[in-house]
Amino acid sequence: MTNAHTDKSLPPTEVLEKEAAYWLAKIDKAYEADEAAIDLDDYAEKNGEFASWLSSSDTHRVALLRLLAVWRRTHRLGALKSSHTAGIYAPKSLWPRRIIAVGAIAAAVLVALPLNFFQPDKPTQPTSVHQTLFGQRDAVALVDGSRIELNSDTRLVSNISSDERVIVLEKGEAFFEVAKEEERPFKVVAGDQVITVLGTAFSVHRQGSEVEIIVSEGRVKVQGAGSGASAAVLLAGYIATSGRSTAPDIQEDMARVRRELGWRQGLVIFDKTPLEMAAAEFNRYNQVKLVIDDANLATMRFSGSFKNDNVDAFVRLLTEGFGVHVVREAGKILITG
Amino acid sequence: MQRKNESLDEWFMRAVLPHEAALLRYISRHWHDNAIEVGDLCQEALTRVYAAARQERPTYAKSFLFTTARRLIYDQIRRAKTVQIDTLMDLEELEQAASETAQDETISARQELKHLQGALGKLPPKCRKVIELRRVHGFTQKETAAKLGITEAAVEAQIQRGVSRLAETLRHVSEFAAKRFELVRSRTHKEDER
Repeated sequence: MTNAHTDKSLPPTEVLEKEAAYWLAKIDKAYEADEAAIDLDDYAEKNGEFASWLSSSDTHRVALLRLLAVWRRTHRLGALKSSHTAGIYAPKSLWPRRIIAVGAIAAAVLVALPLNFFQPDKPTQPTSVHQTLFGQRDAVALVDGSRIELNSDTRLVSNISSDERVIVLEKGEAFFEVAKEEERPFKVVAGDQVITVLGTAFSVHRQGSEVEIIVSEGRVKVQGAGSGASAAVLLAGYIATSGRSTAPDIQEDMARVRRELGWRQGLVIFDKTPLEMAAAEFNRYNQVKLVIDDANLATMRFSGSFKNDNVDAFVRLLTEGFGVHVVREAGKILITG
Repeated sequence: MQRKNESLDEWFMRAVLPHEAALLRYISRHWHDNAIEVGDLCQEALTRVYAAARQERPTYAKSFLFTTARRLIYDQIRRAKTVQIDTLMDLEELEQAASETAQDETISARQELKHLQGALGKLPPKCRKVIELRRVHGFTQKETAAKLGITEAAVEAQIQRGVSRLAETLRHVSEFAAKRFELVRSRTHKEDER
């Protein structure tokens, strides 16, 4: 066989793909007079090399059919012809783009001017309380364009004044998408921690005096409450955990960031998570508590994502997959070994 | 569903291949096990469907494709040393997905054109010129070669590269509206004390 066929350095699927593409180009040429007449078996009768390639495996045929289906789809590109009338690389074709560019600049100037001239007052919003009950999730749009998503059992107070935007997280967990405003900092106060940002997306989880900050975009500054407290800057993908008296523990782990923000989709996401912690995570969302009453079982590790209110399915998998013993009592599900 | 005198290849392109993107998207969204390459799994499933259809074409191609994929996954699970517990759960979801109707899976010609145009725009310039002349303007490979002052072999090589890349791009930009499959559990269960 020729060219693409003999490249042994590629993984099998890529070799297959190359071979299929090689034949697609040949077939395109052979049937360009009447594309609708393309028929692999017909072409195989005309080309012995192709016949042996095609008949050696269904995988070959399927790979080629996939490309043929795509090639047929591209037939629709013919609809673009009218917009390409004068030929595609005539210098003419550049100039509509120039008009658009000039238009865009003009539009930008039009939009920018009034803003610069009038400096409208920044919208403010008096102190408001936002909260979710146990097992609930909610989203709040603030007047400055920022957005807050509240996880289960969360309470926070927002105050958007003309010179700063302050959110006090009293309990629970919230995800912030902050509208960028250079002159009006956005601050989240969680216990001893003050988190200051300009424009970014991050979440803060407060459990008593322990605060966890997860940054998914941009950067945030975290500072302890004391006057001499040192500040740390967290970038996207960072997670900082701090207690009352301990220095924050900072980790960079984008996978963990995604995992810990699973609640925004109503999911709990585990990655080799011990059963005991997995149960605690479910218990943040469900009134019926999962209790692991077996030391060996508690350290077993699980991976994967689950709907956070579907604890029953999780329990079913524990019983069916691992033969654990389940006792249902009022308000709790007891898992024993 | 069956059409008169439709060849197996035509049937496969019409009834099976359009579901590949949905299957691929679905599996990659829920599959956390890197040991199995999602693309390989899809390809294997497609091949098995084609082979099975030689004997008899399934009435519900989509559900047959998903079931085939699920069996492959089960095989992999049985072979794997560590089992991700949610894998089993996801498979239940896969069944749900397969039984969904196809009603919102059509897109407008305009959207399709947009997808194609997007994929075309991602090609390297030389390759794109060839594909544009051949597919947008409908020139033959020979005419395309003459227009660009390159050999016919070069045109063929660019088509080969171009179709590969277009397939790769369009594979992820599905022709189906993205759908969320909600985890719906119909099965009720009572855990008895054992």
